[in-house]
Amino acid sequence: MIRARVTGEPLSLDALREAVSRPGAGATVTFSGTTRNVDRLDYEAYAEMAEERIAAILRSCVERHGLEAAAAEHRVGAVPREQASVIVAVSAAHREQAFAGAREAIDRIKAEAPIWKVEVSGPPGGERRRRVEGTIPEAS
Amino acid sequence: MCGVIVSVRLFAMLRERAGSDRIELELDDGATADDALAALADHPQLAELAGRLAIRVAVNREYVDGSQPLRPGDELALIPPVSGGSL
Repeated sequence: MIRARVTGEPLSLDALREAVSRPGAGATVTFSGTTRNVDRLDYEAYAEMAEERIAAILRSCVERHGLEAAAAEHRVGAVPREQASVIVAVSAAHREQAFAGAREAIDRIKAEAPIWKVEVSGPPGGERRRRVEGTIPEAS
Repeated sequence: MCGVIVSVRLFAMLRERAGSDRIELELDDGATADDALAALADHPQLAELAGRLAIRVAVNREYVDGSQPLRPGDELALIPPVSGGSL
């Protein structure tokens, strides 16, 4: 089971954890990536492609690590400090598979999904904006 | 040589610099993804930024190599460095 979503709404780790619940899953690992230090992060996505890309990454993780299920959601728009911008949940028979699968999923989502962010701090009218640049994704 | 007009989606710093989320490029028949990137050198708003920024081309929502041929009706997008983040 795969679930990939890009949304403007706040993310629910509880809902994602329930989505990967399986009778044969003895281990569930969740990850939450959260805005830190700055007032907020402004996220922009090539949403249709990002959803497809995240789904492809999750399918690959299920296959490579023998997961029962994998799900991930990325928020776009303004994400205030201490709120989640990206969440991942995976389930597997045992914890070794679940940890490895979750780790690969979040690392690849951050490196490959067409999503961009700007750090924003300061009062309205006097905001400081800094665009965060990583690397370009590899060709498939 | 007859040309084709392709519509290209822009994001992030490219979108901000162009002042638009889409531009049109005029390319020769048989043009590749690299030809689309090269055509940015003639774009008044994007030439400077495109000259120093690494950009990946996405065709029909897949990242492609520069040698990828473009076909009429392809969904083209320019992907500047994504946010990534430290491990």
